[in-house]
Amino acid sequence: MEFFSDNIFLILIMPVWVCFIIASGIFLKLNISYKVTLMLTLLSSFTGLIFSGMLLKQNSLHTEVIESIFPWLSGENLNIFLGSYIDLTSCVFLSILMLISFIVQLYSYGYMKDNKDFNKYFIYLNFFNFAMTGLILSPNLIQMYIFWELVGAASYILVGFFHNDKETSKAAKRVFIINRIGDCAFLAGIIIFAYFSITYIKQPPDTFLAFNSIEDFRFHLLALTSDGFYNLILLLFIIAAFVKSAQFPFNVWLVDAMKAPTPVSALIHSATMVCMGVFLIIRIFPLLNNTLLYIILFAGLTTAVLCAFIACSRKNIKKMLAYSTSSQLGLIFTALGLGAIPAAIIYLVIHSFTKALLFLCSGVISKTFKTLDMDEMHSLRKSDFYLAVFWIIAALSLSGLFFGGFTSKEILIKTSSANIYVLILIFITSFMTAFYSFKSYFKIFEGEKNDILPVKEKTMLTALTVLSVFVIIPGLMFKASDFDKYCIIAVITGIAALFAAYFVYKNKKQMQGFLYNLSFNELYLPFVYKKIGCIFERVYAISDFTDKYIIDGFVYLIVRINTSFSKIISRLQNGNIQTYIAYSIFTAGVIISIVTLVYHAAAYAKGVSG
Amino acid sequence: MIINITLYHYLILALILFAIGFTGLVISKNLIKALICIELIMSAINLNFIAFTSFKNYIFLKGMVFSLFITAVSAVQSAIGLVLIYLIFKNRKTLMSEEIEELKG
Repeated sequence: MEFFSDNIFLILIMPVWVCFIIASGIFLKLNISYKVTLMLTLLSSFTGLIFSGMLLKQNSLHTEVIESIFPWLSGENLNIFLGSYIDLTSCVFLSILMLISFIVQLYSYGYMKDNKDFNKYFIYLNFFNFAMTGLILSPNLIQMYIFWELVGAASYILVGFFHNDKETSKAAKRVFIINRIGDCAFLAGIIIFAYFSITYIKQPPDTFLAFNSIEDFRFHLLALTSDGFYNLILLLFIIAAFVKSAQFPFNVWLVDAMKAPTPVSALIHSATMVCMGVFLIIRIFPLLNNTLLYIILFAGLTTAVLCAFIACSRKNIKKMLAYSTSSQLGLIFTALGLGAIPAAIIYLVIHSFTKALLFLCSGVISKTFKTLDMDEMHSLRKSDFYLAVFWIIAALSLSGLFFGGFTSKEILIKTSSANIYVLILIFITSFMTAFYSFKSYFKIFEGEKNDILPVKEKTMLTALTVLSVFVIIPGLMFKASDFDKYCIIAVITGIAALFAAYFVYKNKKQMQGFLYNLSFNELYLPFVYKKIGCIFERVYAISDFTDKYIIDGFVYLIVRINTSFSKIISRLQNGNIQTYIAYSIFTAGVIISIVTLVYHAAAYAKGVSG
Repeated sequence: MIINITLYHYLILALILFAIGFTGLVISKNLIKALICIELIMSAINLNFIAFTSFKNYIFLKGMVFSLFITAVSAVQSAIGLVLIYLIFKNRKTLMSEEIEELKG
């Protein structure tokens, strides 16, 4: 067992090796076969899976923190360490990452087989795995920040993978820029932390911003600053978490991120990377006080309700899933805001599997119909029965009616049963969740016609099967004795939503009314963002003017002066040899006369003084 | 009237020769003329050497030896110069220095 925690860096390095092997294959034009690429990538994530599984088993038996660090930057009163920090949280997150990576990589083979950039795609996937592993294993906030940025970069690269499409590259840019808000907040928080840490506290250097001594930090910091300022610092970290997890009002980037290939959406934008906000909050949880927890609770509930509301009227299947992800992460933040970390983690694990399954299904669906618009899809169940089963499993789990989702929803409801308002909002969210997931099922899979050619791909089917097993298994953990009145209400809500969805599907009536318009226009959020963008455009116009005419103007002025001066000088060099001779002899004469003059002056001065 | 010829007479003669040569070198448009003027400058320098040798340091005759060298070198130099001028003429069909001014900034 020691072996796994001692050699944990192996799983950090292995994706990098695979990256290098595939990349050198591309550079040397070796034409590595797609199967070799797939095998290498699967090897690296499978190793990670074994490591994380073993560590999880070891850690769940007897909880302990295994930390190994080495110095990276050393200064007088600042030592920055890198290394690994393994506790139960990081084991759980690492296991999810490795498992879903493995499944998604397997699936990607079938999905990307016809793309000539297949090898490049796998390089990016491995790079993402490396960045995520580093993030999850980070022992302090500095390493976390480094890998936080790397993960953002990986997300940007993968969103813009089909960059020949102009819309896609624009969307990738938007994703990156909105993510920068969170990154900036994170960096600002770290800098303020570091300022206090270096100037006043004089901690032992190896615990600089480290997670193993983060409780002490609260004590020290509160002694130095007021409550308000303390909240403000931690709010920066919370903002970083909100941006990464696509919480309101930063949720817009997740919709743009849907331009990515579907397996990437499943891996990054539903299961692993967006959970890193939750991970950050769990890591800094000892620092949070009641005010901050209320902020998290409030933001989480707002996101949960609003995004579920928007998702109800999405026509694009991936956009619906994106809003659903935001909404479900909002519920996880609600659990965190209530202080229930175990509930949050359980909900997150099961949601990751469920949402990855939905995304992978939607990949197959979009390959079948060659579109993402749900209005153009119909009666897939008759030609692809297994896919319908997978979608039903995922929808039941997502809406909390059955399987893993049921277990996690019950735990969440039990956690929040003390607060009736939170409970009501959770019920509203789960009603809408069930509504849109079943509405999409009816739209895609039910229908009269039977003329669709299903996509049958062995690797994709395997991946879906494995993932659905992981969705089903957690449902078996639920004990019947835990059943209480709130659970019954939740189930009734879900079933009511199911019937509502069926009713809406059957009537095929175009929805009208204020609420539908609000939902269909995404709460007019894109409009508001555009308005904000216009304000910034004015600011940019000023800075653009300054840049163009003042800064560049100054540089161009110097250039002009130099150019005109050298034009005058270069007229001396007219190409006529005789002119050159005249110059040189003239110069020689000047030099000789100066030397003579100086010599005589010196001799005269010597004569006077001597 | 007997003029006692001193060192300065020689030097002034050499200066005049040099000045004529230099002026001719700079202003003459024909390259052959410029070459001839270089010869003038050479002989001015030679004259200086000889004058200094005979008036200042006549024991070892170092300057005389130098003047021999200069004569030899100037012969070689004028030969090379003639060759270059011939080649220029062959390529350009001209010897006017204003027409050979491509090398400029």
